[in-house]
Parts: sequence; C-alpha cells; structure tokens
Amino acid sequence: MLHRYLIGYDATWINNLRLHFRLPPFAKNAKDGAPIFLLMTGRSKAWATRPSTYSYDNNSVTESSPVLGTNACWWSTSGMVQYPTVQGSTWVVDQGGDAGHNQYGLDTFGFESGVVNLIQTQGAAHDVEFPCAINIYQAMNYDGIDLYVTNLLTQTVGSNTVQVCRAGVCSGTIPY
Amino acid sequence: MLKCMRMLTVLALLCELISAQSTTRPNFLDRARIQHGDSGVTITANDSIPLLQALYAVRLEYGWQINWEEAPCFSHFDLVDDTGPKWRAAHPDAKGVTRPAGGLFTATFPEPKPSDPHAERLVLARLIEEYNATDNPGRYVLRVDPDGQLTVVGTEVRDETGALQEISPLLDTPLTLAKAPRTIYDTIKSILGALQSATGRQVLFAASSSSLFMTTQATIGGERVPARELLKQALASTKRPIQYDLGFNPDVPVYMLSPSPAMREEDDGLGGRRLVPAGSSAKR
Repeated sequence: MLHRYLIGYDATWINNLRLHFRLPPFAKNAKDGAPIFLLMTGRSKAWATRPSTYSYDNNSVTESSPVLGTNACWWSTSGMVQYPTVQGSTWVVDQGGDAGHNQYGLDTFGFESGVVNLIQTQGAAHDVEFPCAINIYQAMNYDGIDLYVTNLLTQTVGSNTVQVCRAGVCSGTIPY
Repeated sequence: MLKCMRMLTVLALLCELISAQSTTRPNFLDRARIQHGDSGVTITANDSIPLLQALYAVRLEYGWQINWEEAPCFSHFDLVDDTGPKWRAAHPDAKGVTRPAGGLFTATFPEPKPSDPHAERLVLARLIEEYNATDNPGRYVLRVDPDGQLTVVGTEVRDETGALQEISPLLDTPLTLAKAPRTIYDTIKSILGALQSATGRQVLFAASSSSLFMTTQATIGGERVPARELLKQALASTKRPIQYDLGFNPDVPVYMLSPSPAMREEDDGLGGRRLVPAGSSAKR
C-alpha cells in the first residue's frame, strides 16, 4: 500500500518572504504559504490556496537542504539515511496536475509505509524510543536565486501512529 | 603546537574507543572523523558498518557521488546481537535483533588533488583495500561505470563456517521492464517490483523526500538489463547528482533502497557546518 503524505502549498508570498537565514530551529521563519484548510488522512493530501493579486505562474521554486537533518528513528540496519536531506526538487508554479494558479504543487516527504512499519516493529528492540522524529531542513529558492524561506519538515513515528508536519502545519496523528 | 593538538585529538579518540569497548553495547561514533595531515588523510570510523560510515564522511568531505550496495551478512560470524537491554527485559523470550559485527576502522590515503580526474577512484580503491584487510564484516569491490560513476559493491560475506563466500549482488539481477513514460518514482517502484519477482527479495524504497521523483518523468526500460543499470538511468533522469545506498536488514530480511543527493559539507564561518551542492568549487 502506498502511504505517503502530501502537503500542497501556494507560492503567493514568494517575493516578500526574503527572510534572514538562520540555523535551526526554523519554525519562526516558516511562512511558506500556510494552508487555509488542511485535509489529511493516511492516503490523502493537504492542499493550500490563498488569493493573490500577483502572478508567479511559470516561475520556478527549488528546494535544497542547508544543513543535514536528524533521524531519531534510525539504527544501523534500518536502511534509512541517518542524516536526511531533501532531494532538490524543482517545481514550476501553475504547471503540472497538482498545481493551480500561484501554486507549485505537492511536496512529498516522509518515509513510506514499509519503512514506518519497520521502525514500529523493530525500532524498540534496537533501542529507538517512541515517538521518534525525523527532521529535514528545506530551503526554498524562487527562480534559483531568492532564498525566501527555510522550512522544517518532520515525520514523527509513534509505536502505532505517524504524523508529518511542514513548516509548522501538521497532518493529524494517524493511527498506524 | 600542531603536534600537541594532534596528540590530544588522538588521546580523546582513544578514550572514546576504550569507553566504547567497555560497555556491552558499543558507543559507536555518530560520524566518521577525517583528519588532514602531512602524511595524508586519516579517516576513523567506528560503526557496525564502518565502511559505509567512512564512505559517508568522504562523500560529504569532497562532494563525491558514490553509490553503496551493502554485503548482505547473515552468519553469526558477521552479525552480533543488537537487542536493547530495556526491550530484552520486557521480552525475555522473544527473538532479538542483530547488526553487522563491525567496529573500528581506520584508513589513510593521500590528499586527493582536485586536478586529478582519478582522485575519487584512487581514494575509494584505497579505502576498500584497507577495509578488506580488516576483520570487519563483508568484502567489497569498486565498480566504475563507463561514465565514471562509482559504486562500492559488497561481494563476499562469511558463511556459518566462517569461510568467505562469494555472493551475487542483488542489483546484478537482469530485469525486463517495459519501456514506457513514467515518473521516476513509478520507475523505481517498477524496478523494485521486478526485482522482487525475479529474486524473491523484497526491497523497500526508503526515500525521506520524494517530490523530485514524483515530478520528473522518464522513459526507461529494456530486456534483461541489470537492475543497477535501470536504477542509475532512473536517478540520472532527475538531472541531479543522486546517489543511492542499498542497505540490508538481516532480521526481516529485507533490502532498503535509499537515494540521496551528493553534497559537500563545509564550515559556514559561524562555527557550524553547511551543505553546498556537489561540484561547487572545492575548499582545497
């Protein structure tokens, strides 16, 4: 079963979010278009819309990790990365099936069900303490030049729950 | 002064290692340590899979893109109990969990010159040679693609008699995959599915972030193409320097495929470390 967590964000506030870069925690800088409403279940997606008078359509947004993340769910044979980062995706605003006007589509992060299952079934025996959290730092650049925000992405795995958060906006705690 | 500092560093490291050995569950290093000196670069790893820990440090130090395929250890010569005491106390009769029986690994190699196109290959060959001379689990080889991409591949493990036994790396498996346009995410999933059908081995996709794979399309496939080749084509289609780790969990057992972008870590000038894209100008 595919088990992924999707949170969509708009690109409305891009230009006026040229924020001072700081090392973690980034929570205070997380203004990457907080959603007005959020729907989240195990297989659904959260979506954000925000009215705007300025159009950012056809411009790009690129992610990168400014520093290594942390993974408290990790052990040596877990097969996960110990220090997670984003992969460096680029979105084009208002292009692709998931992106509307001033939206750059879905950001997909968090380990899938197979890995979550492994953490929940084997982690405790390897001394992983629940809930354990995976933190990823995500810097967002507009048109490859303008760093406008750095988000904290988290996935928190409990012994029978999972939750993902992006820039302080969280899914519900999903029984798992 | 420099000598004193080096001696202090070595002493601190020794204390840490002695302390690690004096507990039932070793205190491994969080990350391998790299020291640059007159006689070259010394790397010290202390982990259950110390070659991977060393490799991870080398990747970040130089921004090199290197793939890793773990030797799937299974015997009691290569694995040790890793069951946490708290969990064991609560589950006295349950089967515990294991980890590879690795530990300390130190290697030295000449400082790679940025102008040397073979530097990466030479350093890795040296690391692997020194690793294979230790008692740490698994034996590894370096595979070099025609395009220069490097993959460290586990090729031997100990069997239940303690003898080294050659293994066929999982990603050597020839696969037939219909050539069709898909997202990279679906392509990788198709490769892993085909791999499971062909070998009976399950491979979990362990990406912590997948947007890049879901937003990139490619047409990849072929008849009886090694899984490794298909995977590399898929990752290369992202136009990003994505490397992969193929890990092995002996307790399930299951393989785990974990992609990550090649990056270099450097001082940020404020006492911390920051990541920069691989290929950006080297500090040395």
